[in-house]
Formats: sequence, structure tokens, C-alpha cells
Amino acid sequence: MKVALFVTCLADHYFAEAAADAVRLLRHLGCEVSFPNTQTCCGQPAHNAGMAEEALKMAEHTSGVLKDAEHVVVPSGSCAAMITKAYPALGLGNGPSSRTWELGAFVRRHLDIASLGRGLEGRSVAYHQGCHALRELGLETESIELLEGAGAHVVDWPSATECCGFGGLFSTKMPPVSTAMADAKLDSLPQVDWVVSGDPGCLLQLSSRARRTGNDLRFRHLASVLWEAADGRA
Amino acid sequence: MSAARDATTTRDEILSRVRSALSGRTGLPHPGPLDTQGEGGVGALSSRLERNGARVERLEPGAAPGEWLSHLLERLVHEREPSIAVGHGVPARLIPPLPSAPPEEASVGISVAWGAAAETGTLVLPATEGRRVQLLVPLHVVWLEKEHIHARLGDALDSTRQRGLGAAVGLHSGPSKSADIGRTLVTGVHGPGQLVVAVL
Amino acid sequence: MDVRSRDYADLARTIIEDTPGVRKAVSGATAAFDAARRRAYAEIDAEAWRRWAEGVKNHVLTHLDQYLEEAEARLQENGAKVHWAGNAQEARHIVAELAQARGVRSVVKGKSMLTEEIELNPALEERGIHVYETDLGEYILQLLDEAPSHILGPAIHRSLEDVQALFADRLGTAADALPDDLAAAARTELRARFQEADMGVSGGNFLVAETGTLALIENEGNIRLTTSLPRIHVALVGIEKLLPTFGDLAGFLQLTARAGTGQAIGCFVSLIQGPATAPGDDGPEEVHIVLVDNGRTDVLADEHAWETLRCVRCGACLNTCPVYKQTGGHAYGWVYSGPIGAVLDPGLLGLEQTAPLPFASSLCGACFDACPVRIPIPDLLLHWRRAAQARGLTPLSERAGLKAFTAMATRPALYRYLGRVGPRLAGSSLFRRLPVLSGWTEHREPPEPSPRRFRDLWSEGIGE
Repeated sequence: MKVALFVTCLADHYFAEAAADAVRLLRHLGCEVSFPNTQTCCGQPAHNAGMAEEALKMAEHTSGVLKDAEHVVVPSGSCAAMITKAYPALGLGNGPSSRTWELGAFVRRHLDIASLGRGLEGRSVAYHQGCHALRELGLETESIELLEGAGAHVVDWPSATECCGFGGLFSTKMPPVSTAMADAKLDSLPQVDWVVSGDPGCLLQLSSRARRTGNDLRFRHLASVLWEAADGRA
Repeated sequence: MSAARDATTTRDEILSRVRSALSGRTGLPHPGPLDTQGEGGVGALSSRLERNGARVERLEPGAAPGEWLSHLLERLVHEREPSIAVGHGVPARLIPPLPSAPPEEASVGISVAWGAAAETGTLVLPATEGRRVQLLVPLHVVWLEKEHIHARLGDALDSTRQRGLGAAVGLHSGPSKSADIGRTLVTGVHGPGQLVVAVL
Repeated sequence: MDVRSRDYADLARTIIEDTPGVRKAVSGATAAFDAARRRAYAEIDAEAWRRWAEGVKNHVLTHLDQYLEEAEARLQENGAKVHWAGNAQEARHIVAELAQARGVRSVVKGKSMLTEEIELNPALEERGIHVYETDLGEYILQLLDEAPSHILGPAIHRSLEDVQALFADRLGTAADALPDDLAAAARTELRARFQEADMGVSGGNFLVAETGTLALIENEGNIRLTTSLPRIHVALVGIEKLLPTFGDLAGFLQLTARAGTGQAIGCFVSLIQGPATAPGDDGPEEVHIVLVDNGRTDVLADEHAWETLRCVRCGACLNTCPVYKQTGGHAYGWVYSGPIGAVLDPGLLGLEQTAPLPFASSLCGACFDACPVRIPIPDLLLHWRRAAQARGLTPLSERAGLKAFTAMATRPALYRYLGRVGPRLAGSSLFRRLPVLSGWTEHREPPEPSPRRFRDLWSEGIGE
């Protein structure tokens, strides 16, 4: 199966190793992975800021970059939601929307893989549900099933589905509110080995706040954890 | 000054603004009735009312309702001689042999419901029996005939409408309550703190 | 009340930094409401109920002129008097004139956001009329001279200790009185006000066109008393509050309660058709319904924002909103707060006065899932953001920054070149002083860029 990776600007610059793990994982699962080199940003920052013209320009650029891709896999629920839900609303209905997947959903639903291996045996994990993956794409169980399928214990985190407070521009426009939201999530976190999320933005928000408050929690991108799940297969 | 303008003018201006806002917009259809699929019967009504914080008592077979209620009230009201205020529509046989008092002072108010809805634990109380009896007393007893229990609120309201809505109808589904102070539930804030439904 | 929505960011900061008790009280109360709402939705086919309610409201709003005329005719037949107010000033004037003409000296009030919106209380007090809020939460706020911070729980930002201190001072209760005793003291005080009031003022949850029925939902019983005991009842009702048929009531009464508090229905619902007609029914001699526009027809004319008029004021979106939870309603600077306020206030007040509100959201979407009438709040937040950007109501630096980013992101070579250095510079001390980055680093460590970008790893070849 041919897959184009849309890495996203945040993962490209801040989660490069996790994105590389996504490539390793997809190849391991038999996909032929390409990386269209002219890709940039999906346009979500401008879209969410209300800069319609700018959002459309970036969306058009990205649609062009991905026009020949059979499947597009995105290591970010938020950017995947931008491409699948917002592009049609911007008038790009024939773009990559119907062919685009968030990484965990692609593996669990499209490739229909229930267990990648047992590489997460004995690990306790808190899974942060990215808002757009959860509420726009309706992805609630996919990644958790993959984590549990690999032996991880996904703990009950009362605020797992609550927003971390990132919200792109929101995080710098309303810093005290955004930070208070991160604190609300972190304060309710049970003892775990890792906090895992499929969204780079959420991970940046939570980890940056945790480091500021002297919290040494380990935050990991879903792609790396899933690769570890598969790589550890006996 | 705009506030002093002619009332008809204001009315017509608002309606004309509404019409101009809607011009060119498609009128959307009414989706029809909502089927709430409620469960009926005394059991369903009781369990919902109890969840709402009310108390449901069934008249013992063969008991005289007035006497029976009098005994019940002895247990529920911690006063030596409870006094009662009675709604206009309550038949004599449903009135316990206790001294009466105006609703402002009575310890118990007694009403008869026109009907009830099991899905919400709601009693339908017409205004014509006097609203003070339903509202000013600390304990409100509502007589309810089993045959008047509807499964769904919509059916209870329909049958009320057929009988006549009058000036006002009160729907009581539990005791007066509030959690406005420190998120602690308190009952009897303004209306009756206890609601007892006596099923005939 | 004065509109302070332009100061949202500062108001929010002050609340979070200076009054941690507010955040704690609001978070706790909203979490309890939201959990109750989720349980109550799980008991029904919530999706079907919500779609139905959305449909009924869409129907009534797209036929609003007809239903307003029908409601007016029915109410008049029922013996009620109908008034029309184009704006807040006219609404205040109608009620104040009515009170004065009838020699009203004291007024009891049930909780009504619309009376806050039109600032009714000061208008009555100016004429020497005493106004008593009778909802327990509103009563607390009246004593404190504060505005409500939540549609349903107006005083949720206040703790038990706050109320203990207030009532000890004003009602003479013990300093450590329990909530039951505090409520009893308020009840005694307000019972006397009910008995002496000449006029009761309420809002309205729904107004049924078919029967001219005003429906009011509550838990305390104060609204039933307000609308029953005084000789005059005045209800202020927004023109969007109509329902077409009496048969629609059952669904809306239940759905509103489930969404707001998780109850199957409010403990008390008043269905009011008009003044008392039967002897001994203890009702008012006069019932006046004031239909208020105050910006609603402007909202109706907006091809996107008109959907906000479906709102039934249940508060579910506030309770589920992670942004609202951090501050409560006062940060929003006007009557309607939280997600619905962020999309309704720009429509009612104009965007110039409220531009920061649509940006007071992380666009998490929880509000839409909670809304009983499926108002697409996230889409409407974007709608107002676009309008704010187009009209230049946002900081120039923000617009310039996004334009520059777009220029870069649509030029792959430039993007690749700048991407090599940008993230590293963002962590440096010089760049931390830029507004967008200082907003981040004030409370958070700078994000740590990867040692090598993904595209560099890719071009070097990714091995297992």
C-alpha cells in the first residue's frame, strides 16, 4: 500500500524522531512510504485564527502537494482533521480529504491491525485525546486499542478527553487561561510511565508546562510508542 | 425619545425587522412530535419521584384515605398538632381530621393532582385549587389517582390541555431545592421542602 | 451592565492569578453539572432528541413573524397584555412605567438573564421601587452587588465560606452556619418580601405560540411564588424564546433540564396562560408579557449567527468548557459568558465591543457535543474570528505574522530554508521578547526543537 506522510510543521521541527518512527512503523506494516518534499503547513493556524484567505492559500498548496497520494497519513489528529473536515468547507472537496488518516486510525481501522506486538508489556500510559481527533474525526478508541493491544495499561484519567489548552494561537493570545487548562489536566494525572498523545501541539503544551512547574513526567508521541510496540514483537 | 414611541410602531418595526431578516431564507419544516418512549405505571413514577427527592406512599387497600393520611402525617411531621391547608378541589374523603390553617401558617398543604407523568416524576397541579397551598407550606401532600398516571410527560400535558389550562398550571416533580450555597444540596428553599405523593 | 468584553484577556488573567478560589469553585461546580448532564444524556437517545429540538427551533425561527403574532393573539385572548420592546431602553421603560402607573413599591424577581441584559433593576430602583432577587444565588449576588457568573448557578464562583461571611453580616446568622441554616435565613427574609410585593418580574424559558403559554423552569419555587403572589406579573421574554405548539413543550422541558442540571425535569415548572380568572386561584390580576428584540433581529439576519438564537440558556456549554472553567463568567465582561456568550455577545452587542470573545476558545468542540439544540459553536467562533480579522479588530502583529507565515508556507524552498533556523531562534532570549513567544514562555518552557528536522532525517534515509 502506498502512503504519503504529511509530517506537519510541528512534528517536522519538534517531533522529528517520532515522525521517523511513524515511517518505520508504516514500512514495517508493509506500506511504501513517500514524503512529498514540497509540503509545508496544512493551514490550520490561519484557519483557526480567522484568516480565511491565508488558510485557503495553504490548503490549496497542501492539496496540490498531496494530489497524487493514494493515502495520506498524518501524525497529528488536529492537522488530519484540518485536511479532512476543514478543506471541504473551504471549497476543496476534491482534495486529499477523503484519503487522509490520522496515524492511529490508519493503522487500527484502515490496515485493520489490532495488535502490533507486545512491546509495551508492563507499561502504564495516560493517553491524551486530542480534541480534533476525538470530536471532529470521532476517534476515541483507535489508538487506545493499539496501545492496549501491545500490552500497555492505559490508565483511567478523568480528564483524558478534556482540552490541554493548546489551541494554537490561543496558547499565546490567552496565556494564563491556556496554562490553567494545562494545569487542570496535569493535576488530575495518575502515576504513569508516559503521557502519550497523537498530537504534537498538545504534547508541546503539556510538556512545556510540566517542565516549567518542575514536573519530570515523560511525554511521548504516539508514533514512537506504536513503533516500540511493534519493534518489541517477539 | 425612542422609549416613548407608540407601542404599535415598535411592534410593527420588530415584525418588519424579523420579516426582512427572513426574506430569501427557506422556512424549515417542523420535525413532528418527539417520541420520548417513557415507561408508565406506578412503579416507574415512584422510582423517578424518589430519585427527584419526593416520597411516594400508596393508600392501603380498604383504608379510609383521610384517616390513613392523618396517621402518615403523624410520622412525617414532628409537631404535636400539625395543621393543614387544603386545596379547593380536594374532596372531603381525602381530607385528614386535623385542624386547618391558612397556607402561610399550615404545616401541611393538601392538593389533588390532575395527572402525572412517570418519565419525569411530574404531578400536574391546576391553579384553580389555589396556588398557596401548593407553595407556601413546608410539606406538600398530593393525592393522585393511579388511572391518571401517564407514561410520557407529553401525554400528561395533552390531557391537561383537554381539561383546560386555565390561568396557570404547576408541574411539581420534587421538593424545593438549591445547591447555590457551596454546592451543598438544601431542600425547602422557597417552596415545600417535602413532597409526598399519595397514590389512590 | 457595562460591557467589558474587550478586556477579556486582562479580566481572565486577574481572576486566575488573584482569586484562585473562583477557579476552584467554578471548576468544581461545572464538573458536577457536566457529569450530571452526561449521565442524563446517556439515559435517552440524546442525538435524536437534540436533532428534534434543533429542528423545532429552526422551524420557529424561520417562521418567527407568524409565531410572534400567534403568541400575541393567544395571550390577548387569555387576558394577558403584550408589550413589544425594540431595545433595552424601551424594555426598561415599559416595566418602569407600568410599575409607577400602578403604584408599585416593591418588586420580587425570579432569575432572568434578560433582565440582566436590559439592566432592569437600576431602572426600577431609580424610581424608588425596591427590587428583591429571590433566587438564592441571585439573592447572594444582590447582597454582594455582583453580576451572575453562570446562567444556571449565578453564584457558583462563591464558596460556602463567602456566603457564611455575607449572611453573618447581613442576616445575623452564625459565622459557621451550615447551608441549611443559611438557606432557611434567606427563605425567612424573602418570604416576607413575597408577601408584600406588588409586582413579580420573571423571564421566560419558552413561550408557546399555539396556546400563549409562558413556561418557566426552576428548582427552588421562587419563580412560582413570584408569578403567583404579587397582583401584577411581568415577564420579559426574548423574541427567540417561542415554541410553535403546546406539544413541543414536553420535549423541551425535559431536554433543557437534562442538559443544564442532569435532572429529568426541573422541580417546578410554571405554565402560565394569563391572569387569574377563577376565584381563589391565588394568581395575579394582571399578566404582562414584554417581547424583547434588543439585537435579536440583527442576529436573525446574519446567515451564520442566527443559529445562536436556538439557545435555551441551559448552561451546558459553560459546564463542559475547559476555558470557562478557569475563570467563570465574569471574565467575559457581559451577561452571557462561556462558549454561547462568545458567539452570542458579538451578535447582540456588535463585534467592536466584544472582539476578544470568539478568540477565548481553544476550539476543542466540547460545547457542540453538549448543546441540546446543536448550535455549531465552534463554527460560529470561526465565523466571528473571520469577521474580526477582516475588520481589523485583532492586533496588527497577529495578522502580519500569519500573513508572513502564509507567504513562507506557500513557498516550499523558503519554508525549508527558514525551518532550519526558526525553531532554534524561537528558543533564544532575543525572540522570547516577541509577543507571540513571550505569551508562551511566560508560563511555559520554550518547546525543545528536534536536533535534526524530520525532512533532514528523511533525506539522509530512515533505517530501522
